[in-house]
Amino acid sequence: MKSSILLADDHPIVRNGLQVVLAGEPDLRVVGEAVDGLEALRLADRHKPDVLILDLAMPGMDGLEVIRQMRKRSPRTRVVVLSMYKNEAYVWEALKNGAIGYVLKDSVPTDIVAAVREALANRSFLSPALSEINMMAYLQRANTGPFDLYETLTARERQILQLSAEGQTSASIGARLSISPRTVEAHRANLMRKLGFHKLTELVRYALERQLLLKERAESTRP
Amino acid sequence: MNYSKIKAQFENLKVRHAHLRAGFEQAEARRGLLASECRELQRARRDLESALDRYAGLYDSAPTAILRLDRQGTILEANLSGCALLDCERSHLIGKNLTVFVSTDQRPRLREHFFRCRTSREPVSVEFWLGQPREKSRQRYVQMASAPTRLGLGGNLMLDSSIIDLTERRMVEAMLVERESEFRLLFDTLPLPAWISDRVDYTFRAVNRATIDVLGYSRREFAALTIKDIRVTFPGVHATDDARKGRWDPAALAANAQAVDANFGVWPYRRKDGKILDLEFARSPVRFQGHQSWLVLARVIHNDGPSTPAGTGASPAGPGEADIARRILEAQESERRHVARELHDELGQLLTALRMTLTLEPGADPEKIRDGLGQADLLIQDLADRVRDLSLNLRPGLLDDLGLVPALLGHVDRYTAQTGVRVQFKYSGIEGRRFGSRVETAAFRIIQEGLTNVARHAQVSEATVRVWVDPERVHVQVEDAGAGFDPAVAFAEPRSLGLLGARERARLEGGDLMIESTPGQGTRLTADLLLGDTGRIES
Repeated sequence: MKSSILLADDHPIVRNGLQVVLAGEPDLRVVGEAVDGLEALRLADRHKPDVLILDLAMPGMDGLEVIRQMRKRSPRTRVVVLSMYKNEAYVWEALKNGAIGYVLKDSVPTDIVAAVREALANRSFLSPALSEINMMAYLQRANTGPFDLYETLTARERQILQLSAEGQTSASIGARLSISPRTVEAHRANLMRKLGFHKLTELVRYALERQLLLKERAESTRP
Repeated sequence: MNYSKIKAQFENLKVRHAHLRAGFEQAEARRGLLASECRELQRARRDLESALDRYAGLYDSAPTAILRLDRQGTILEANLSGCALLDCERSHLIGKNLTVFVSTDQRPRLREHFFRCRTSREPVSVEFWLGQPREKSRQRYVQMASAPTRLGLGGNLMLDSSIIDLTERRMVEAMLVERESEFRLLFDTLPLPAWISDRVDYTFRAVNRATIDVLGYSRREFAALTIKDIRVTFPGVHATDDARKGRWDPAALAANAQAVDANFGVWPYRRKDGKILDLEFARSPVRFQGHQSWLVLARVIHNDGPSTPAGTGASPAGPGEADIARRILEAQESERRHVARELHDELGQLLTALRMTLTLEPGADPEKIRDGLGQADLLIQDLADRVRDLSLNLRPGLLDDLGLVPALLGHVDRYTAQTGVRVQFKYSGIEGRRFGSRVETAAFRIIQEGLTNVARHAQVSEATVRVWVDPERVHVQVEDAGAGFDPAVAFAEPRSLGLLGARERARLEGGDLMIESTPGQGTRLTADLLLGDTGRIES
């Protein structure tokens, strides 16, 4: 039983080249060619191919969207991306959205065949030029660690957070900071919105959690 | 009594009897043969009859009307479908001329068809309306194919004709044509210039009325033009040709490189009378008449604001709009100037050096040649890197293709490589989300501007970029612990268009930009942008 392959690329030369390369494989059969994302999805609906070889940069529908739609409409079709983009970001996005292989357009023809075969065995394949090291490095850079909303508060807002948590009134805070109580309330509303709090008690608890840490730290640095 | 006579007669008789007997036996044998032949014949006749039956059945019940006509069109035979089509019993059909069944205005067509059949060896086709005009709803549009044939040698010419009913198909075609003309009307009456051009050979596939009015060429003239004839190009477009001829205009090259493949923008176009018009255009890829094409919508921009075509009674643009338009164009010009300068300063010199390296004296020794080529290779590599950087600084492809996170990661890498300032990039809630081109572009540009300022003024080696969302907005922040400045001064100073531009971008997206800074205590630039209904989640 031959495995069915669908080609999607808007350059006739590329499609032709793929046909030639795949023609040499007796157990693989090209069932259709598409020149844009919509046509690729239509043909996939009709043929339900085993593998789709997809160019990311076709006009019309965004290539990543095509991959997403393919996963929804024809989940048994494995998507192998054929692209000129070497940048790890593209590779990562493609894989994240559901592609199983990524082959660079300037690689040797045997790579695309290898990618198709690996895909049929449900294994992923990346062009050798896309070293795993670079991918790992990119992923490491992309996972930039936890995000602390507290850092996004302005200096004023931090002051008001602390003073509010201590229980001071808007009037006294205003007096202390030389601003009107209205301004104090505006700042407090802003900072509560930023932190996602609706009640003052949440604010107090948040401040306590952080202040406690500060107190602990202060205590631990004592000789 | 003559005994010998009797004997002779008896012998005669015997012979005769033998003959008779032989004859009889022969006759018997022949009869047997005949009988078996007869049986075979009967069988053959039965076969023939059943075959005839089958064929008659086929012939009669064939969905196509089959008629046999003589050279003048008189009906000699008709199958049942033919009778049904002509709405007449077979016995009444035979002997009538086919022209009886069509209206008088169609008859010449049929007669011409019969005439043509007389001299043709191949089947001949004709299409015509069957039925009388007074029964318009019962008229059928048909196609008849007649094969000339002769019975026997020198026999009369006859036509074996089959007729197919095309009425349904014709109705569908008419409907399609009508629908198409509806769309053509829509396209043609758009109040703005619109056209469809071929993506491969740049020819005009369709132009509407407004395009003709605005650009001054007739429809026929457009059919012979290409986009390249209408769009104003600067010398230096085909850079390699011009460079070879010694003409090389960096400003033009820069301007063209930036805009030639954009999907939106403003570009000068040449009218038929030679006048140059600035058109703001928007284009999208379409498939038109089977060809990959661009659908372009355009609008004339005058120096006192964008305008609608004359004659529509629209009031001229107010001063506010004119101001904005002018500022946009000025910003474009200053960007072009900046790019032109960078190209000239950085690339122009490299190219000159490259040329000198490659100009070899005749008879130079191989060692020198090899050195020269090696140097040229290094120069080209440097050139390629700078062009890439320039291009990416202008418009990072990652942003359009993949969104904010990958684009910012890439930008931060390049920024650190170029300036030596390390950047901590932290984000929350934007992974796997796209926010629409406007919001993403604004966010990216604001961060780009913030980082540029850090490199230029802060005198630090580290900065932090943060991006986060709440249900309504996306927030961006650039922070450093450096020299700091007075924000009021920064916005007032006409030099720092960058910060003004960043604030403008934030405001255009329904948000704002704020700078907290004091000299000596670092700087923090924060902006927020409204999401609208573009913050969709994808994965």
